[in-house]
Amino acid sequence: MPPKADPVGQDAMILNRPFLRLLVSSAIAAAFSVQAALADPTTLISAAKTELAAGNADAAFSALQAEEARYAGNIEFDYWLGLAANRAGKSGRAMFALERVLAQKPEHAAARLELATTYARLNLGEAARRELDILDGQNPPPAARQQIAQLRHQLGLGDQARRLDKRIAFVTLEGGYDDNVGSYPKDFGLPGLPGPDAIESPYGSLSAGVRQRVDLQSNQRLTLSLNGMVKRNTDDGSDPLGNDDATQFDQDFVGGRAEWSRDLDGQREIAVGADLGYLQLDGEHYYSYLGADAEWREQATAETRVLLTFGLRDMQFENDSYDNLMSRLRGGVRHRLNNAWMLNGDIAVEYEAQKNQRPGGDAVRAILSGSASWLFLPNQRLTGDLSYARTEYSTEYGAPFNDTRTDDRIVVGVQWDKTIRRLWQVKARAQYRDQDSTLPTYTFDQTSGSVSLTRYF
Amino acid sequence: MNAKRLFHVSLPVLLLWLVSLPVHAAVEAGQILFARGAVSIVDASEAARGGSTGSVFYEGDRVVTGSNSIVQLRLSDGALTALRSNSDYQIQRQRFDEAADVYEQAGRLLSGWMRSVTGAIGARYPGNVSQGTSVATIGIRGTAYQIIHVPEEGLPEFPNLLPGTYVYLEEGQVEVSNQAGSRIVSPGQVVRSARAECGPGTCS
Repeated sequence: MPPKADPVGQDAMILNRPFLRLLVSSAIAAAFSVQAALADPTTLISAAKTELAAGNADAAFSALQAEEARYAGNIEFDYWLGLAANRAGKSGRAMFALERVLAQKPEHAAARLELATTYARLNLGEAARRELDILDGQNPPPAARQQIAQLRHQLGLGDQARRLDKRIAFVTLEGGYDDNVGSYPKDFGLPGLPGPDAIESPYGSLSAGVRQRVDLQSNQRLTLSLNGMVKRNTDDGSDPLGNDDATQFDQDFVGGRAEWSRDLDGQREIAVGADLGYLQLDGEHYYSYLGADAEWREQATAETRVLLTFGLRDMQFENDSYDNLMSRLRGGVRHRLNNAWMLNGDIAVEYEAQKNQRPGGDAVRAILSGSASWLFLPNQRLTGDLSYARTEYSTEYGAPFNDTRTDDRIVVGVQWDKTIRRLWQVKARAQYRDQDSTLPTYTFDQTSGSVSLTRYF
Repeated sequence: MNAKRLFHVSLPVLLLWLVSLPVHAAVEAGQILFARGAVSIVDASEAARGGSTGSVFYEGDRVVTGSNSIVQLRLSDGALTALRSNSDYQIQRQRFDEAADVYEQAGRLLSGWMRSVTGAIGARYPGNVSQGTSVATIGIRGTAYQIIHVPEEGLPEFPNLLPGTYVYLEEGQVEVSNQAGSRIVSPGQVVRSARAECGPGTCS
């Protein structure tokens, strides 16, 4: 039997001195070259710059972030990582990298400006201003000054939005045209008696309001609002078309509301409110109301908010026979589909309890409504809305109708609005209403269009 | 040196290394990404070692900063945590093993200021990430947030802040809770938990 090969001898052959020397020196050389390559992120940064220039911020950020553990602390690397993170929308990550730059090189103006931008994006206005103040003290070049000014302007707008969220007032001037100012019926439903001619009229209105939020505690607030409107129809009946006088439907309205709300856990909220209003037509009291409601609001998901409201409203008409107590139960969903689209849907049931033997008696109403808003530009929005309501009255109308009354009403509207510098809003709206009824005298249709300009304070 | 001698020399070294293994059996939680000023890592037996860029820390370790200091920690799942001066933060649990489907992360701010950006654990299982203080637990559903915990004796860094835990959310969503209740925090909001028996955002 031949002797077995000596493994030790084999090893010794492999590990003989020239070979070992070669192996060790190669390993050391390789280690040095790898270390040298790793210690210098220049190539990586150049590649990231190329990606950034091509608009591929995500790719630049991914490439740099993959090496963050290795190069963190290298000023150039951290600056470009912060910049790429910002461009890729990773503001949280950007802050870490940029703060590393400034911890080592406080005079790095570009990093400080980038950090200020990051803070502004994250709503850290005070921190952003602090960085801009430091930059101002470093005598920045004109281009940087311009960027600083722009950022300060943005921060100012943010402050303004927060202030307006707390207290806001508005004045709206509106002009429009209504082809059936008095909601006159299409037909009286009486043989031999033709339906009335609808009154068409241009109109103008001026409305104003103010809303004040008072923070009672960190999770409780009181919101007070007051608004009023004056609407004037311009056709006084003296036009050659022979229209009736539209000014009999001139409106004056004033209303107010107080609401207390409590945020239960950041996701659910309860609110209790009271409101009142007064409307007069052509200078005479038409109705007034006093109401109270309670609402449950829940942020079901990040995109969806759910509302459930119960309310009571005591309606007092100039003609006492129409007085009623209205109770209302409403469920609503507000869903943000994405940054551009917002969908709203409501379902409500109302019950009007008569007080003084009004025609038709009590009434129950079911309402379905929805709207979709499309923010097609950052400051412009198109909204379409549609609602359907069915109202059934409990008692038969007397002669000459001798029938119970059921109304079906559809309202459809399209609206465009544009906000200018957050303080101005231009709005245009077209709307069509159509009501069908078992009693012809309550059928009508109405088309209106308006343009308005609102100034917020 | 022939192979036999090399073997004889290597064996005791190997054995010594194996014997020493239990000492380092603690789960590696991450490493210090960046440090300036006085930073130390304190283990469960209260033994402190210096913390500098590249230092490894383990599950259960605390990272403590002195005055005029800043440290950034990179956890094994890529999450980042920054601490400012006079902060004391414990990495209570950090288990990240994609192959074994293990995703757990918990920290505790004993004192001071921290900012965190979640990593792979937060992205995949946000419910498995939490931060705590003596008065509140913060369940992380978002990506970037700040926590300041001011102990009863106050914090020199924040002389105007009342004791308690302050959570400021920059991006995403977090839930702050304690024995008295819980609250979802939305971006831009600050919620203070004054005491453990007082629901977040409800006591002054």
